[in-house]
Formats: sequence, C-alpha cells, structure tokens
Amino acid sequence: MIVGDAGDVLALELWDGAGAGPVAAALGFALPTAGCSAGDDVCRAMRFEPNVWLVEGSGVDARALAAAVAGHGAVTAIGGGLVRVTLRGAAWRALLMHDGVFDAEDVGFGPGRTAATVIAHVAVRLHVVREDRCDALVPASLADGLLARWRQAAWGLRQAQGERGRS
Amino acid sequence: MNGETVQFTFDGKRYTARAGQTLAAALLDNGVAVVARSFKYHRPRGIMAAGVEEPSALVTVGEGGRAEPNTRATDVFVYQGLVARSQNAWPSLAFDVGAVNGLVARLIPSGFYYKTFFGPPKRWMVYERFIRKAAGLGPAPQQADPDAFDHRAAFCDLLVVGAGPAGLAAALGAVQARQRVVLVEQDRLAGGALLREDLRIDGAAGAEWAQDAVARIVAGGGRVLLRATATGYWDGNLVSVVERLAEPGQAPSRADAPVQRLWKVRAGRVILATGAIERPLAFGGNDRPGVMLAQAVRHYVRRHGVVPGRRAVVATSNDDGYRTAFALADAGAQVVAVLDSRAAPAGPLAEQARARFAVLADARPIDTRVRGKRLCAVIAQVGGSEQRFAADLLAMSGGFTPVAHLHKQAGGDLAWDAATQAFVPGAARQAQASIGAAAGGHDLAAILAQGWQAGGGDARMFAVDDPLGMGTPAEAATVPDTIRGKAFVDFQNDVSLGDIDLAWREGYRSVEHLKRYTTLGMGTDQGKTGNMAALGRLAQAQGVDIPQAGLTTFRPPYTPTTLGVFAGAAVRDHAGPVRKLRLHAEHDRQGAAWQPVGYWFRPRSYPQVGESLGEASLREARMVRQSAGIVDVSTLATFEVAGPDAAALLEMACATAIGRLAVGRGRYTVMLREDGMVMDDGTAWRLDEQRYLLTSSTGGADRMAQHLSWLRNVMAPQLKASVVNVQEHYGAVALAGPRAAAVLAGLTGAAAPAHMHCAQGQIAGIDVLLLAASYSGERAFEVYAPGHHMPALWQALHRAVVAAGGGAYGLDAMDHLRVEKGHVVIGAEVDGRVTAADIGLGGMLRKQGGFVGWQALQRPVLATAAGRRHLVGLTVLDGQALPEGAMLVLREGEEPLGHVTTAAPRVAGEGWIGLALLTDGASRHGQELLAWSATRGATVRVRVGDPVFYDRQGARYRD
Repeated sequence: MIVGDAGDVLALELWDGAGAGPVAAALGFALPTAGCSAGDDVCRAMRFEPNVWLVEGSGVDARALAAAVAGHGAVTAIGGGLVRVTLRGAAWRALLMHDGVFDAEDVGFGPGRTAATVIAHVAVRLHVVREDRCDALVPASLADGLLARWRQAAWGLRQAQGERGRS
Repeated sequence: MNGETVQFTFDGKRYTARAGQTLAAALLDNGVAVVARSFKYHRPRGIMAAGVEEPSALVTVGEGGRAEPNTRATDVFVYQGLVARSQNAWPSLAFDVGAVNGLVARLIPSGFYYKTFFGPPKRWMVYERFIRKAAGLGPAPQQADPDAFDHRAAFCDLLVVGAGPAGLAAALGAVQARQRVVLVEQDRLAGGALLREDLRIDGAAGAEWAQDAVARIVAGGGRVLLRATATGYWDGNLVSVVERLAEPGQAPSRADAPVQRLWKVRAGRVILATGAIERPLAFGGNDRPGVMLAQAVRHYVRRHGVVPGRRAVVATSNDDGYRTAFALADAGAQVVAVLDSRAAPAGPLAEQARARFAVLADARPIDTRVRGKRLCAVIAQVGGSEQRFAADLLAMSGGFTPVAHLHKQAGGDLAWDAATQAFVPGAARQAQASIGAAAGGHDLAAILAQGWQAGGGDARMFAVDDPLGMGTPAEAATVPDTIRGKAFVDFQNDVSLGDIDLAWREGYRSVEHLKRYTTLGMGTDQGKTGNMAALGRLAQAQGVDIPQAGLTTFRPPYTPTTLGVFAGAAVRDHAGPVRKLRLHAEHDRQGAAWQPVGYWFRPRSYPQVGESLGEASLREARMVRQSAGIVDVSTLATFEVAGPDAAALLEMACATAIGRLAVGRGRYTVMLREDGMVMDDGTAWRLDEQRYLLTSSTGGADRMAQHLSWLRNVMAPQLKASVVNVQEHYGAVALAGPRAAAVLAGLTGAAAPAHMHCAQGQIAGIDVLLLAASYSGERAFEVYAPGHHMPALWQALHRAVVAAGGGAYGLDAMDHLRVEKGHVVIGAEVDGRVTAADIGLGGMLRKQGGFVGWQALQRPVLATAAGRRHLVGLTVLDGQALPEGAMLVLREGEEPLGHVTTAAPRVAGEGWIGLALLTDGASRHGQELLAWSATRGATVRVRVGDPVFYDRQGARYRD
C-alpha cells in the first residue's frame, strides 16, 4: 500500500456532446465510457459519473483543457483534497470488500475499469490499473481512518493467507 | 479430534477438555451434570441439546470487558484458558437461594407480574428495584468491550446456508455448474447430521465425505465459511452472516484483530439447508439434568466421544430415536428401554432394536426422579400401566421442526405437513429454496440428490450405505394424558404446559397474546425447541389444528448476536469516521485542545500551561482584538460554480444579489429552504467572468452540497453551470485583527485586498486565494490554498502573526468574537425556524425574488414581523455567567418568551453577553428579563438590546 497526495486532478464536466471532440483533441484520446478509464500515467481520464471525468497526469495541460471545453463544460481542480492510495498485490480485491458494498471480486472489474463506491462510510474512487494494482482516490480528511482500517484488514488477509499456506 | 487437550475452568474449578469439544461436551465428559439455573424457578439445569437451540445450558464465558453472558455451552468450542461461569445462581450453582421460587411456584404463575405490580405510579419506584434485580440471566460486563469487529461484503451466484449433506451437495452442484458459491455453516466442522451418524456416502464415512466435499468446493472456486451463522435474510437476497474468528470470551491473536466479522452477502439465489431441530417431549420433570434430546446424545457419543450416561432410557415418537439407542449401546452404555409412543412401531430400525433392547410400544415418560440433582429414574406409562426405570440418562425425541426462520424472514410462506405435524417452507418470495431436512426431507440419498440438483449440478445419485436402513418420516409426539409436576415447553423461560393452560383459561386466545403473557419463546433461544409444543397445546385448547392456531413472527437475528458486530469498526471515540484537518499535526504540535464538530475534530483553543479552556479562549480572542490571530477554517463548505450560467444558478440558491458582483468582489449571502426559512449563510465571490466561489457553514456542508445538486440537476438542468464541491480541495486559514492587513501584505508583498474583495497571491511560494471577509469584527482575510500545501502555508502565517504579537486561536475564541459582533451561527441562532428578517437580514434579500424560498416568504404569516422571534442581544446585569439555552421569562415559571442561543464573555470589556431569539424582540430593546435555566438551577438578570455589541458602524474591518 503506497500513500501520497493525489497531485493535480481535474474534474471535467461536459454539458453537451459537442465538447467531447475538442476534449479528445486536447487529451490525445477519446473520453472513456462509464466505468472505464483511458490514457496512461502521463495523461489519464476516468469516468465516475454520467457527465464528469477526472483527468490527471503530468502531461495534462489544464489551460488547454479549459479552453477546449469552453461553452460545453468546465474544468475545476480538486486534487488538493485527495489522497492516492496504490494497492498492490493479488489481495486488493479482498481488501476492498472490507466495510465495502461494491463487488471488487467480480473478475469483470479488471484493468481499465473505474468505480465510485463507499468504503467504511468514505466515498472512494477506484481505478484498476493492472490486475495486481488498483488505485484509490480518497478524501484527504477521511484518509487516516480508512488507511488504518485497510492496514488492519490487510494484516488479517495476510494471516488468513498464511494459515491457508500452512494447512 | 486429535489427542490434544486444553485446560479450562467452570465456576473456578479446573477441567481438561479434548481439542475440538464444545464446552457442553467437555462438561459432560468431566461429569458435570448441572451447569445452569433456570430463569424463573432457578431449577437446576443440565445440557439438553447439542446446537444453537440449547435453551438451558447458558453460561458466562470470558472475563472483564470480553465476558459474554448467556452463551450456550453447546455453541462455544473450548480453548486453552477458557473461563466459564454459571449464572443466575447465588451463592452457588449447587446451593441457590433463588430456588425458593420453585417452592412458591403456585404464587408466581404465568402472568403474575401483570397481576401483582400495579397501582399508583410511585409504587413502581419500589417494584422496579426488585424487578431489575430479578431480570435477565448473566450480567452484562461493566468494562468496555476490548475487541474489534469487521464488516465485509460478498457477492455470489448462489449462497448455501448450512453445510450438512443437503447444503454440501448443493454447493458441489453449483461448483460443477461454474457458479460463484458461498457456503456458510455455523459449526466449526461441515457435515451437520453426518457428524453424528454411522453411515457411508460414496464409500467414505459421512464425516470424511463432508471434509472432502469442502475441499472440492474450495478447489472449484467456492468460498466456505465455517463458524458462520446466517442471522438475517433481507430484501434483495441480502443475507447477513456473522462469522466467529475467535470463540466467545477468547482474546484474538493480535489486539486489534477482529473477533467477529459481519458478512453482507448479496446472492443471486439462496439455498437454505438449515436442517431441523428435534422437539423435546412434555412430561413431568422433563428439564432435569440427564434428560436430553436424542440426537444430541448421539452427537456427543459419535462426534465428541462422550457418553452422557451409563444407564439410558430412550423415549421417542419416531424411528430416529432408535439410532440413539444403537449409538449408546455401541459406546458401551446400557439401554434400559426404548419407550415408543406409537402403538405398533415397525420397520427395520424397530426390528433391529427389538433384537438388542426392551422396546415398549405405546409407552411414554410421565415423570422423573432425581438423586442429588441428577436423574435417577424415569416413570413411564406403558399401555395402561406405570413402570419405573432406573436410569441416569433419558434421550427423548418428540419429532422434528424444520428450521424455516430464514425462509420466513425472506417473506416466504409456511405449509403444514400433517404427517410430521410440522410447518415446512412453502412458497418463497425471493430467489430462494429450502432443501433437505429444512424442507421436511428424511431420506439421505434423496436429500443429497435434491441438493445437488438445486445447486445446478447435472443429474447424479449418491451411494448411501446406512447399515441401520432408512426410517419412516418422523412422527411428532402427543402429550400424555397423565403428567405429574411441571412439564416444560419453554425451558429457558420456565413456561410449562400448565402455564399455557392457565393463559387459555384467563382468556388469551391469540398466540401473540399467549407469547407475551407467558413469555413463551422470548428468551435468547426464541423458542426453537418449545414453540411447536406450545402451539400444539393452544390448538388443542381451541379445538383446531395447529395451522389454525396461528404462528408468531420469525425475526432476525436467528441466534443472539453481539452488538459490536453490527457496529463493526465504527466504535469507541466517534462511533463513525473521523475527519481530520490537513493541519491536524500542526495544531497538535501547538497544543490544541480538540473539539468534535460533526465528524471533524477542530482546535477548541491552545491553552498555555496552567490555563483553563475558558481563560485560553478569552486570551486568544483578546489577542485578535489587539493584534492578529489565525484560525483554521478549512472545514467551511466550499463550492466552485463555473460556466456561462453560474450566476443564474447562484441566484437561485442565494437570496442576496449575486449576479451583479464584479470580478474580484464578494458578498455575504443567505440561502433559504423552500419554506422560506434560513438554511445556511456564507459568502459568494466572483473569481473570474464565469467562475464563482461559494462558502457556507461547516455544519451545513453536506446539506448545502445536496441542495446545490438538487438545484443543478432537478430544478435547472438546462443551465450550463458546473457545481464542484471543493471543501476537501481547499484548506483555509482566517487571519484577523488590526494587524492582519500588515501581516498579509508582508507575506504576499502586495497590498491586502479591501473588505469583500478577493485576489490571487503567493505566500511562501504557494499560490493562494485571498478573500477579505470578517467574522470577528476585525479586519480579516481568508487565505485558501490546495490542501497539500496547508502545512507550509500555516507555518508561514503563524511565524508572521507571532512576530506581530499574535498567534493561533481556536473555535471558542472565534465564537466569543462573533457573538460580540452579533454574527449568527447555523445551528444556534439559525435553528430552521427563523427567516432572514427574524435575524435582521431581511433587507438584504432581493426584492424581485427568483430564489428558493421567495414564494414562501410572501405568505402573510411570514410577511409580518409581529409575533415572531427576533434576534436580540442580551447584556447580563448581575455579573454572572449567562447559561446557554436558558429560557427568557418575565418571572420564573412563566411561559418563556424566547431562549438564549449563545453566551460569551465580553472580549472588549467585562461581564457576559449573549444572543437570543425573543418574541417581538425588536420592540423589547431596553427591557429587563430573566434568563432562567431550570435544568442548571441558574437565573440571570439580562437587558435586551441590539445584537451587535462591538463596532456597530463596521469601521474596524474597513481600511
């Protein structure tokens, strides 16, 4: 589990379909459909809501993006309020089931998929980067409590894995 | 079981158990006959059952905060160091003074409580003491529970409840059909009935076949949860399952490791293979230690290697009871007689039994005898005569009750099976089915095939080799004509057949009334063993069949559940998530005293050595009045509203003029509910042509987010405006005081913005947004920056204010300052019942309307100020502290005219002041009233006046 500030994350809202083309041109790829991500670590867009995408990465030009959506949407910085938790290892799916309500163990929730859910009363945005890595964007004020829960649950999972290994 | 042993204590005495034994098995193994005292009559009780249905053997397990009262001895597996205590007995289990109740049983029949404890209400003060002392069984622990609990979700195509033969077959079938399967079993071993039977499936002994089945289910991708009880079945095929990770009273392997886990399983389909519970027989003294359910006896013999008696009588109404006779005889016990209540028992079991034991037809127990407290003889009616059998064990079987609790919780119907005199699951309301003994099945081969197919497997048969042969469907027992003494039906609450008869004679016809009058089925076992017998007796009295007598409701949880597991991790300090400021560590370093504010923790003040909280907050407030102070206001609700229609959207939400704001300007505003009452207040700032920042109160942040979402998405979806909640994105520090502008200018290198202006700037290399707004009455600024920059920003600001003679201040100082300035706070002065006019802000509202709440304000009742409560200021006249919440009255005891909403010591001066909501307050300025708090025993003389005590002209916050 790696924890750090989320960095620059932009909320991109579109009010009409006409904005999608200019945004794709600015990003270099088309905006993803619901529950999916597009792009890479340099520039990534993730869709969690019907009309809102989160855009992040060192290659994102916020001004160019704002200019691209002018009249069709708005871009707002939200990264200051988010902590990024990188979950690595095969057990991230089981970890997310603790205090959760979302089926992270569904094999369909694989690389390139996103989900917004509630875990331990905290609104969390999930993005599966690879089969063995899932990134979670967590509200900064609630991160300490959630991380403590995840560490406790991760310990339990390791214990259970150890017991299975011994049996 | 392997050869390992563990040590445990019961009532302070050390015993040895074999690993894998339940406490009940271990106590029987050690010859402990009496383990509990009954609830009402304090009768000595032993172990009757072997599962969660055990009504009598309730003990307290564990110590300190970990103690778990009313634990069934049959539902705790012995671990090294287990401490168990009997309960409801004084001074000891062997000699219990409470047993005198049994001697005066005639004076305390069913319903005596209702007949005795009536009269004037004040008598209850006397009754209550005795009633409370007598109530309950094991005392609840006084210490806090040290254990942790966990919640976990699971999703599956099929959930199978119960890992007996039917459930295992179903899960195997589902795995073969490549479904996601979850199988839960309340025992620590899978197998259910197979653990007590001597038979083979597909060539393997039953218990081994079960173990192998579990391995195959897991290998096929299924999840098997042992020691996990499905406690509730809810809408949408959601089943709650409580998994025990440690035994009751057992410390976990690590201090913060959970001892129980609540699984919330959402299943496509649910198969209930929950088995059946054996019914006891009703006869005199059927509760005595040594009287046990027949299947339970077989369970202890075959699974735990414990023979509960040396001379046994088996009393049965069905073929299954014979299996216990064989098990006992095979284990070396003497079976004195098999009493079969049927007139002519036939079939392979009865035939084989006749070859080994005395099998008596038309025979049933009617009474028992004890030596010490243990059974020594059974009196039976055999045909028309009475016979006495010397025995220390009576194994009884009165038929079976399918476990239909979850089926009923899921909304299913029950059907009546006349042959077995039992309710079986009928039509289901959700995607669920009951199989096996839970559905009335008794033929093992058929049960296995049924389970396999229900799980989704292809057609197949299981080879069952039962050396005793198959019995006939279980018949239920009838109550003998002759009964001596108390024949209990609800063993836990000491409800006997006589109590049910009495209730009937006293006019209780409905089963629901009967239940409440007699307390039948209201114990921790919820009548699992007793309800059917009681229903049968009621139906007999009514002259109807049992289905016509009615049924009580099956409610979750199926078995008693620790409250902690419902709370999960949300326990202790906050019982919920804690929201921490980005500056939490900074405040801690500066010695903050913390104050919970909703989910947030905020600095209340920064007391110096030897300083009280009150002294600290007053010092901090005076510091702000005299030099400069900084306070963390990051919890304020903050929204960015952007787009060509941003102003139009804000004008719907805000009742003051926003649309005409110039870029770089801000305005105080209020937001109303649809009924015209003030919902929140804050400030709106125009950051550029199409972008605004809206702030509102901390406490109302979630409500405001919801309100704006509703406006944007429901009321005005056509608007091109985005609303983004940036409360978490921004941290904010308010800088206030006569030296604030100079401090800010020194940090940014630019002139501070004028009051209600905003500007961009840089502090310590951090891009900041500066909003010039005052809540304190002093020149003040709110400095905003992205959250991760806040520690560096705070440190820079703190150094600068300290250099200017100031420092940090907390919530209490902020409150003192705003009270003196007459500013309202949401939740105190704005309590959901005031209009903007009531709090002196009516003149700010847009006359042309167009905002939420405007139509409501046109109603005559709100258009006039007369008779409404107005915001006023209070000055204390006699030097006392003003109690918040005190009623404002002309004389003590009179109808209140209003109440004190906030009180504070004067910052710029001496004495106490306050704000209040007072009927017709605007016309009462100068009037003297009493602030009377009956609950605090305080009465303070106050003078009503203007709510602004400080700098009425606002000269101090303007340049």
